[in-house]
Amino acid sequence: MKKNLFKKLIPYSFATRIGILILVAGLIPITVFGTFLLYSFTKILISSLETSIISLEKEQKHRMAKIMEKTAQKYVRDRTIDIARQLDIYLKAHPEKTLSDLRVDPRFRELAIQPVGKSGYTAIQTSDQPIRCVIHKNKEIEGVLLKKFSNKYKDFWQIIKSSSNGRYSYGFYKWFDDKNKKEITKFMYIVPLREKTSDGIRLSVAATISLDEFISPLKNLEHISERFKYSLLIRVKNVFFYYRIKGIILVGIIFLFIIVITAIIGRYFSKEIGAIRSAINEINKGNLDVSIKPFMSGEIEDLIKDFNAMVKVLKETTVKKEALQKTKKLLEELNLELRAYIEKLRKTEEDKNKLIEDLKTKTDELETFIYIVSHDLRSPLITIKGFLDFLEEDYKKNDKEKIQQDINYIKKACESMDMLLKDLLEFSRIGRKKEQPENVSLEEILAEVLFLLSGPIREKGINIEIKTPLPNVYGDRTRIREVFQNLIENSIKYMGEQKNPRIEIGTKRKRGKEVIYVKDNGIGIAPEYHKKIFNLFEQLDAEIDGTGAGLAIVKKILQLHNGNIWVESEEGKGSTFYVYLPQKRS
Amino acid sequence: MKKFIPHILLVEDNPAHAELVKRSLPKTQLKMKLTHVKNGEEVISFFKNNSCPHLILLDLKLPKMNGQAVLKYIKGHDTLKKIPVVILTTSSSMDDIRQAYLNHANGYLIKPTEFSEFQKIIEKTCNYWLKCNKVPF
Repeated sequence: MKKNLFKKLIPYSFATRIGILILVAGLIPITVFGTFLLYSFTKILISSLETSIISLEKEQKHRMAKIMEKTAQKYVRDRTIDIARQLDIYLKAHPEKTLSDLRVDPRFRELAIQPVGKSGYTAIQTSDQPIRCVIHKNKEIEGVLLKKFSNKYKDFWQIIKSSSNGRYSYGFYKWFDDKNKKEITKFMYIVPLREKTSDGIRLSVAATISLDEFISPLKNLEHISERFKYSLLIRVKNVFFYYRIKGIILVGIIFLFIIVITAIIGRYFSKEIGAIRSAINEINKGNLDVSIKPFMSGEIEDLIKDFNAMVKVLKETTVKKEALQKTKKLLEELNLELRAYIEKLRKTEEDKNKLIEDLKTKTDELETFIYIVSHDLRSPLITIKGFLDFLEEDYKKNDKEKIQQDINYIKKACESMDMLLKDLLEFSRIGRKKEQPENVSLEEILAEVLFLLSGPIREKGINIEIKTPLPNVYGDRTRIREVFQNLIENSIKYMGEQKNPRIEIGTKRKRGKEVIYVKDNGIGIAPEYHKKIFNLFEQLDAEIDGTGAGLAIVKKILQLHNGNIWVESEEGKGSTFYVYLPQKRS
Repeated sequence: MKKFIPHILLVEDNPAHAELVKRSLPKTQLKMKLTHVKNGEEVISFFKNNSCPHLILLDLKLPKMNGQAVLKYIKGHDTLKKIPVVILTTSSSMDDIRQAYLNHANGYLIKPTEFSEFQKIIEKTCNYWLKCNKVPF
């Protein structure tokens, strides 16, 4: 659930992802840090600027004060010297006047006590020790020894002291103002007079002034500078604010610039990834002739190179596989051909073997045939020759009875020989003269056979039963008739002393095939002779006429028809001959 | 002392040939008794009812049980195996001869077409084997 939400939040495009990554990883911290830095830097700058402005202003003020002081000093000196010259002129004009006269002289007093600046004034004192105040604005102080102030106003006394013996002297001193109850800084300048009084006393003019009088304009100046300071600070602040806004705008521009660059880089990456993706799609479609042109260095280039290598290997593998499959297919075809060839060879071999087998069988048959012929044909010959000799003997003796016997033996032997030769001819004829095979109705054949054998059947009173329907068989009509004629004839011949002689013909399933059987209830055949009876000229009973060629002929006919014959029988219990004949040519 | 009358057993299915053998015998010097049987079964039943013959003349081509089988039976029998058996047949096949000797036949005669020859062979064989097998009854 959470994961899905997370997935949804992350954009699909690689480019967008990179953009977001750059924004998160780079731009936001830079912006925040930059803003913070700008803000704090401005603050510090403003405060330091403020301090420096204030210190600068203080210095300025101090310098201004110094200039004012100097101006004040100059002014006081010039004024004092001027007054001293005025007094000198007066004294020259009035050389008769003593000090006491001068003290009361209003003109002299007027000249002696003159204002200096706003608050300052001049006074007359003696130039030599002990220095006394002679004329003063404040009449109470006149005649007072100035040494009296040496403890309270050290600076003051020091200036006074250094003016003794007609010397110039000046300096600052602190004076406690009783009126305003505060200490003020004062400046004093002492100038000696050139002329003496008539009683020979040297005098000096001393001017004092409050320094505040000169510095007070600076107070107004302070206000101005304060205002200037504030306006300056505001200006600075404004400038900084302006630059802050500019900075933010600049950051914004950088922001946009970065986004654009990100988009370009992203597109580049996306293109790359798109190329790889389309290549993979091509491969999925089965097209292996794909190669991506590497257009970026570093990992991506390596990735593409690796990808190309992989495709190459894949292609080679596929090609190999295809080749292998082709080879396999070819091999399989070859194998099939080979198998067919082997099969053919095997068949040829089989045919050959069969031929050899057939030849062997034929040779064996021929050998047997020759043996049988030589044995069986010689037998009657021996008889004939032997009895001919006897006949000669008996003829000489004129034994008529014996002569007759000899002749009978010879006759029988001749007949036997004739039969043998006939059968032999018949036997050898089978298979030599081939009739056109045809579909033969067994029922028809049996009807013909029974008609041919109707004589002996009636004679022995044999009951014949044919279980219809009987199938059609495929072969030589005459030979097939011969088979059944022989079999039924045999059944009749070997019926023995059976009171209810019976022959049954029908079909049955035996040895997995449909066979025709000829069953009788005659004397039967012992199991050891079941095979022997099919040999040529093999007779189990010498008493019964015939050569013993019948079953041999039957067997040969059936062999030529690809059929078979065998017997099931027990002595005294009748016999059943089973005949297998193919219904269609195989 | 009882007079020695040799006894010959003839096994022959062909009556004409049996007659030939019969009529060939009396012309020799020896007086002898001849029993004729027609097939193998008759041979076996003969041994059950009669004493041992001095010689057996055996045809190979017999109905049912053939000559070789009869020979095998005789030569496989404890007491009968001592009786000399001479094959008398029309077959001159090497297979038959070899098989006969393998079955311990004492002799093998091929019936000649010349009767005088036939007579001589029978006579000589009988004389030889009966002399060899001269045992008192």
